[in-house]
Amino acid sequence: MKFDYFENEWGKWPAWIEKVKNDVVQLWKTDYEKKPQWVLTGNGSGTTDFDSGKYPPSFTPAFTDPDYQEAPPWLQRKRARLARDVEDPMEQFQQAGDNIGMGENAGPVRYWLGVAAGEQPYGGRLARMGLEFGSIPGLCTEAKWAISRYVHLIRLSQFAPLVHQYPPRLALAQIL
Amino acid sequence: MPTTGTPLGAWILQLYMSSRDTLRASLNSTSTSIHITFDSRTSPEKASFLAIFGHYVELKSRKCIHVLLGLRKLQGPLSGANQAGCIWQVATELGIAQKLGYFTTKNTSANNKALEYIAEQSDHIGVTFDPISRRIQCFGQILDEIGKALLWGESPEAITEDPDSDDGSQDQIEYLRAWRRKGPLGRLHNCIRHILTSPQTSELFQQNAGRHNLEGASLLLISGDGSSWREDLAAISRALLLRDPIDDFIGSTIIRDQILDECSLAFDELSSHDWDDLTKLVELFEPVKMWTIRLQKQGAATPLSDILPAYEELLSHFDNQMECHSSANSPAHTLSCLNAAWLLLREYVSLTILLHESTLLCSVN
Repeated sequence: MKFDYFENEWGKWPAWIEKVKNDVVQLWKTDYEKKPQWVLTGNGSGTTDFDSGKYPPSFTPAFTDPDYQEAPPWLQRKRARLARDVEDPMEQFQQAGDNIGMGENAGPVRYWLGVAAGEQPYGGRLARMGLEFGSIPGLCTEAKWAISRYVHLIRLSQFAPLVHQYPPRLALAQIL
Repeated sequence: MPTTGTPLGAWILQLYMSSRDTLRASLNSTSTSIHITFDSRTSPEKASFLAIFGHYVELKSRKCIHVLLGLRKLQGPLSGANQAGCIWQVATELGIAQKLGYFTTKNTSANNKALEYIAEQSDHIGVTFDPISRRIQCFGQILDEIGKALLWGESPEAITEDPDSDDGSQDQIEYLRAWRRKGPLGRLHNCIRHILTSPQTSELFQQNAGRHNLEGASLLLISGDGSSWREDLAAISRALLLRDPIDDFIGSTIIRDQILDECSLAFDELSSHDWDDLTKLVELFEPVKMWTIRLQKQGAATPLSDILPAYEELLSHFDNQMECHSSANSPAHTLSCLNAAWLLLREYVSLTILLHESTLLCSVN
């Protein structure tokens, strides 16, 4: 289970781990579980809703990831069983444990894009959650740097002969 | 070729509008939330600007996009409501008001207010937005606060007033005393300040350093004034390189002056024990410094989930250091600083609960 990581690495904080578990499940149930199902379409131009109450077609194990194809038969059977037994995508993801691999160069966003495209059985809603969480920035330094970087362009006196109006200077800063 | 600035301005605006349409199309093509980072600054001409960045997964290109959504001049004060009004306006113009995700910002009360304002506005359009759970602390700022606490303890405010008065005045004495209360760090500060106080003393020190067969003998001392921990740390590291010349210079100055008043360097002389403490202090900063450099390189491309290893490393490092410094004969100031930094880190770990949720979902191995 994915929670294993926290139990192993953050074992000194049992109360906190318990809170995280509850929070994750709660967040899944309130914000994502009821949302329309979607998977990434083949050309990446958008998403397709799967609002039939069923999980995407890949739920009946149609694994396309190389890890699955190369897995020994017992592992493939185990995955298939997991996919059949557990209907909740979040539980399914948790139970998939170490059987799913991201590959060395794949990041979380790429992994969840793969899930959104139907590469994993737990499908779109969880992928949406994964993508949204995977793209949260950890720093806000870019905004600070942007102003520092462009401040010479938007100073009132500088470039006055070049650009008479104030908006073009802001616009120029944004384009650059 | 334009002959006046007017058509050039118009061309820029035209280019800006077309770029904006492209941006709007990209933002609207994604069905996932768009996360926001923002910061405000005052330009040298005293005009306030707000930069708003959007972070999202573009499904078409299947990439994480970090884009400047708006750079606006703020009318009025740098208040939370004022900033939020600007953010909301940009979000509405780009058609993403209903898609706003998490906000990674600095830990300030103005930013809290800004998110409350956005929650109110979201409520008006029928979107639920919890200003507390949608708020992520900027890890860059967390590192900065930890650095300050590690150097200056529970009262990180710096002694920045450097009275440029005649030697012997009461202000000058108070200033030196205040720094001495900080232990070896404060005494080193006074020594460096004394050396750099005039071109003559600085040159004398350089000549003295040249006589030592040191690798960094030609380097200049750095004067940290407590306003930035990075600069203060650089000052200590440089001083450690030039330890022998500094000791020699202080010794010779004490002998030469022969006046023992409050301004005398005799009160700031550093013992070998002091130098050891300073070396240990620099060691304490290793992971903080390493992560600061690493994150500066990555910038906005650092997802929240990548920050968990930093928390792990810092917590484990501080745990070990607390253990070492509790048992060893460590100076009270260092222990107090370490404790302050450790408590701060723990507080942020609890505050940044979403960080772990995010990593939980992202760590599949």
